[in-house]
Amino acid sequence: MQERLGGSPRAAALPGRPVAAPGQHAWARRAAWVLGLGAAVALGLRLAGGFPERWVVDLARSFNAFQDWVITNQRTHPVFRYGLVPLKDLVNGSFDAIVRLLSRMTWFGLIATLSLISGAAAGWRKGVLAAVGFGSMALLGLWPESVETLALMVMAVVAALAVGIPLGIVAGRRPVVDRLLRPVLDGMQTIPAFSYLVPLVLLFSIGTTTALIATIVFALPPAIRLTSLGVRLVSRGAIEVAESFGSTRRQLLWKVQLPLAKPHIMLGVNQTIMMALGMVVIAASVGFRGLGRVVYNALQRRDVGEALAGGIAIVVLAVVLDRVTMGWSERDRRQRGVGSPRLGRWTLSRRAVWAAAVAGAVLAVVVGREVLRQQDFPTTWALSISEPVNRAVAWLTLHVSDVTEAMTGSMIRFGLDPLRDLLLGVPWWMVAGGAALAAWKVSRRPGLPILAFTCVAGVGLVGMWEISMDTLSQVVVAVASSVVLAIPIGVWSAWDDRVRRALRPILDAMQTMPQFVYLVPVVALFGVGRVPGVIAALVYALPPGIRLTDTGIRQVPRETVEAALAFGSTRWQVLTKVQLPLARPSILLGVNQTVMMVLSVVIIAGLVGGGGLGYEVIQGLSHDPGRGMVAGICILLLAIVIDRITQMMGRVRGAAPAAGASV
Amino acid sequence: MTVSCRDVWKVYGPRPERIVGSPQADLPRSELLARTGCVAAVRGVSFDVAPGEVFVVMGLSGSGKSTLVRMLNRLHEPTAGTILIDGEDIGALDADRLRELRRRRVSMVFQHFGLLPHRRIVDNVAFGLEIQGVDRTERLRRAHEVLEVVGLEGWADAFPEELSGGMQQRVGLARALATDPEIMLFDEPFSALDPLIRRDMQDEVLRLQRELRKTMIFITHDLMEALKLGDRIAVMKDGRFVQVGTPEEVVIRPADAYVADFTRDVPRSHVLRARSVMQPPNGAHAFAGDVSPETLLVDLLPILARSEAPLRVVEDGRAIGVVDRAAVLAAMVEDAG
Ligand SMILES: Nc1ncnc2c1ncn2[C@@H]1O[C@H](COP(=O)(O)OP(=O)(O)O)[C@@H](O)[C@H]1O
Ligand SMILES: [Mg+2]
Repeated sequence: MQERLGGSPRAAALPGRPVAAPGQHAWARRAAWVLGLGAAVALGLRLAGGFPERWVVDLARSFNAFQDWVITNQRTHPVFRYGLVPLKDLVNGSFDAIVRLLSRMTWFGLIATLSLISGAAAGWRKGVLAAVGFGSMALLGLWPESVETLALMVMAVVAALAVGIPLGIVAGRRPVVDRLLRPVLDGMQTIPAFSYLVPLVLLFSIGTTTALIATIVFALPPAIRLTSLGVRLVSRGAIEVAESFGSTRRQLLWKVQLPLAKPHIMLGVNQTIMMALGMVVIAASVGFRGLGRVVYNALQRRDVGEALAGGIAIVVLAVVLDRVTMGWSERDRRQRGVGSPRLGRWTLSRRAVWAAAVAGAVLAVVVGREVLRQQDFPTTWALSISEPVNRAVAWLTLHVSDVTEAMTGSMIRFGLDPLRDLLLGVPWWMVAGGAALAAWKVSRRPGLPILAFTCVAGVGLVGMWEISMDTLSQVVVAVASSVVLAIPIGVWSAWDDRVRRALRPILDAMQTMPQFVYLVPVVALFGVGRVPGVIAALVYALPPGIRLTDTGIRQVPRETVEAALAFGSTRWQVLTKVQLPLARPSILLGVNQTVMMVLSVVIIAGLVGGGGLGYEVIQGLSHDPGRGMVAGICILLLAIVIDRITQMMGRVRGAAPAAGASV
Repeated sequence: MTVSCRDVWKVYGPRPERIVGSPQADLPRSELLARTGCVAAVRGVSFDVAPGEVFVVMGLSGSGKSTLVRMLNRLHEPTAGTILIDGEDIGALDADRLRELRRRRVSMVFQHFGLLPHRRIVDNVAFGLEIQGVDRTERLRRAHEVLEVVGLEGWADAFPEELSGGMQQRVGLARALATDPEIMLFDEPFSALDPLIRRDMQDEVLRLQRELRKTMIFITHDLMEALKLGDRIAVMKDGRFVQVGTPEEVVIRPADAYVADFTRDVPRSHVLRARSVMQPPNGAHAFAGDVSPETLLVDLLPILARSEAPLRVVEDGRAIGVVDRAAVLAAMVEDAG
């Protein structure tokens, strides 16, 4: 791995590069570029800015007309009568049934059952974690909401796995299917969570069905991908063994491919669950209840205390689900080393553990129903944190507001506003041309520039130019700040194992938290507006930047570093001349991930006054779905451009460093 | 003949049939690849293996050995040629009959063991039987039996990762034996093992072969291993057999410079047998002892060193010749000349 990534041709090319003449050349060329761009912008600012009004196509009206048509024909058109309406009824019915079932287990019975299952699957530590976690959700006074969230999660995850795993298996065994699915999955993962909701609202209007389908679709890709990957990773040798003994294809699947792919499939289950949770809380914006709703409503009311309670419950749920599923998968992998006979006579077989867990669960439900006789967690036992939190926030606001206001002010004055003014000040074709130019520079093929130009122009055509440029300016500022923060932290962590160890749990926790939750603390500190959204986005996007910088630097072969040191390089020289250049592909991959994460949070920040496309989507979801749909399309167009360009950056530059210099 | 191959070819690449038998097939490998995009891994190989024979195919890495052995159970499809097993053309088998062949008549031992990490040792050994559909108790019983044969009965419930490489390959061997096939294919089974363990495993195979009399086709790149195990050896180079013969023939009369280069460092005493240096019975009656005609010279030397008297070569209770010190030494010094 190290050898491959270190890339001997690249390492070999390094000493050759600082030859004087081409170096000066490059410098001159760079200066020419800067001057050229500056001149172009100066010129552009004199021309009429923005997108010409008369070219705008009003898609919103058509979408709204479509929705009206759906609503009027709901009872009569066969597609609805025999398709969508029964589906809706089925979803609503099942959801209610699950909620009813979970509630009837009583809070005590349900917490005990979940903890016992976690314990049996992932070890008693994870069982305790689950008990504490679910217990604290009850203590926060959010038990009914937690049950609703759980119920939808169960439905979505079961459905996503039921579709995703078989599809992944087929894709893993048939390269054709894999090739067909890959672009679809790529596309699905490029789309920010919010954009999934709008088209579904057009069809199903707001409600549980929309939330469920959006969650299933959103959570599907990792299940498919990881299953397929796991199946494909089964070694040629293992398959040959099975074939040489005369396996049928079915035997090959069940006896070799699936068991060997199991760790990957379980990772897929874990990721599906985490994605589903992320979506289920966002589904509050299409009227779904549960924990997401608590945060959503509280944020709308600017009730930070209440939002924080909901946010904590979501984070706790995320952590419990993540750790329990990971623990389950790890244990399952280790289990084979721990044959039960060798642990002495006190070891229970797996089956006995499960039997005990089930018995305990039944007992707990009986206790809950017959002894405690409380269906919901008693409100008198719940701790309300919202009051004290709000007081603390008020205090905080008073004392740190100088700092936060200064930050907010300077970010707007020196970052967001100038950039937005610039983007809006030049004609649209200059922005689109800029995107195309960037695309050309990273790909050196005509396809991507054309795509970039078209997508950017498309944003103007559908009439969201100003709003999109607002969002774009937020994305750019957040990405730039996030990268500027992440790279030094990543370098530090690569240099010092203690830093890495200290960061690890923090980054793990950050990556477990659904994006929605990031809004809560920034609202507490920075109030509402564009800045809290940008800050939430940049913080949310830090972990991949840090991690991939760290990995990239650590993957630089030790000998290469030692060679540099042997020539008397300083640490700074080693970093800038050896480590960072060699870590570049990895760092650029981090940038790509950062960009996509930032985009999705900037959109969600529409909830807290971030404006831009996110606000349009949120408004659209409740008032004007046509307009929301158009905003969703714009998000998609921007996402495609940004994703493809940043992805290419990593690929082409990383692969052929000499290409740029020799042209 | 248990296994017969007639002019078997394997060409990888686009439209491989056109290469077979054409003049292009004689091009050097890199040139063929550059011109046609094809690799001729096996080129017109023919051989017969008798029941109970150990037939060793030896050659350097890339010479096409793995490809050849995989065509014998059609893990790879031959591009051209016929392969007969017990007179039956296996190229003509449909999927079901091919599976039957693999399940019951031909089994394979792999270079990197190919154990399934998620199964206990005993379940690995029972794998072939499980594929056949043998019920659980019966296949486990049989697996335990075979584990005993290879000396691993205590490890039935362990997992592959807990075993050393040599032990893992014993499991591989046991797995191949468990289905009681008539033909066993070995693809460099001991190449990944340390020399000492490799020797143990070779002895193990010889022992099993004495007891079970399977037909074995054994791939190796190690000449000493080939000489030790093979009844006959085929030396393979760039997809062709350059020589097929007994170990003695290969060492004493290498077919070309390539084989000679290979066998140059082999001490002749390790391949020559009493039969090839003995003289007809000559009336002498004081002997240092009786030996079989298959005894290697290296094993005669200690006895001849102790005594002036010659050795009597006895086959089926009949004296067929004598070997004396001079004859052995003469045979060995031909080495230098
Ligand atoms: N699936 C394949 N596709 C293309 N070429 C192959 C394939 N398998 C083997 N070869 C080529 O065929 C030649 C013989 O390979 P192999 O039979 O594995 O040799 P050996 O086992 O003697 O090392 C090699 O040059 C190898 O690169
Ligand atoms: Mg091989």
